[in-house]
Amino acid sequence: MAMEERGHHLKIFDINHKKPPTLAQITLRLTDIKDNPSDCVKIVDWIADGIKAENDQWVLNVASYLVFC
Amino acid sequence: MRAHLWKQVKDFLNSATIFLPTLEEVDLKPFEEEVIDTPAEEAVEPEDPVDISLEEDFNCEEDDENGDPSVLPEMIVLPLPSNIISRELRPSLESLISVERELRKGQANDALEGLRVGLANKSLLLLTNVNKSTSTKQSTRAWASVRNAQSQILCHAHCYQRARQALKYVGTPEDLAVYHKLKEKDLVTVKDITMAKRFGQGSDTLAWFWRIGPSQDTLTGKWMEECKPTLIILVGYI
Repeated sequence: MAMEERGHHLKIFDINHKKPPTLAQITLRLTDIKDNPSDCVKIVDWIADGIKAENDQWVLNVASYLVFC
Repeated sequence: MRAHLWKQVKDFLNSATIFLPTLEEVDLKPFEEEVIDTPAEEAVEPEDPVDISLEEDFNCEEDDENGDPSVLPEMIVLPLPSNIISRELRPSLESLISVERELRKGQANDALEGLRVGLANKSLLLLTNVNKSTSTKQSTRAWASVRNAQSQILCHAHCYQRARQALKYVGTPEDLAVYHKLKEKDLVTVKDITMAKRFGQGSDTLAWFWRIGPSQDTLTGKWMEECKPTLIILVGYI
């Protein structure tokens, strides 16, 4: 009834939450642009790999710390 | 684990020769880690490192023909654009910097999402498992899960700090205005879950990262839609 009478005005009670893009979504967006030179795609892959390697370095550092301290 | 990291680092360094000019050791700056911990009043003892075993990795290291055993892969400074401090090289790295900037923003978003999930999870565990445990066995298990949640929180906090640190070099001031510095007091459990109906709840606010999302204009724009006709009438009346 309320929906019929008030229509779209009730939408203000909907949760208006949009999540910011994730690393995977951004990687996909950067590699998916049409007419993108292949070099650009390689750069995106290379930096994404670097970020992942950097995270793994930290995980290993923490693991070493927990084992030896 | 270490052998796998060796391969990752080696592949990354090999590809770096394609995209980067020759770098000296002084051109690179390692990440300055800022130690962040759970606030003292909410801290629980760290997990026992029972499951973590690096021994086999050390054996692998000797067999690994790719790696130099005197250098540990986790100690190598990766030549990511944000780690390159040389001012002469910076203009030639513009395209790399713009790509890293976008990816770091994604990394920060992921870390903040993990942080929110981790804090909500820890709060829920304290409310349900810990509070409702009736035996020592249940209590031990409940606290183990809380410790696990805390480790996850600290892991995401570190990840966020790293992303923000990189954004200081490759990002813009607008990026730093969105991604604030993470403080210890931000890593508290959600009191609305653990201590609902508490005194002073009305004036309590959550940490900034719980409100991160679309800009305020897009939100208020829609929410204020219904007020527009009223305002027009009022203005006309005046």
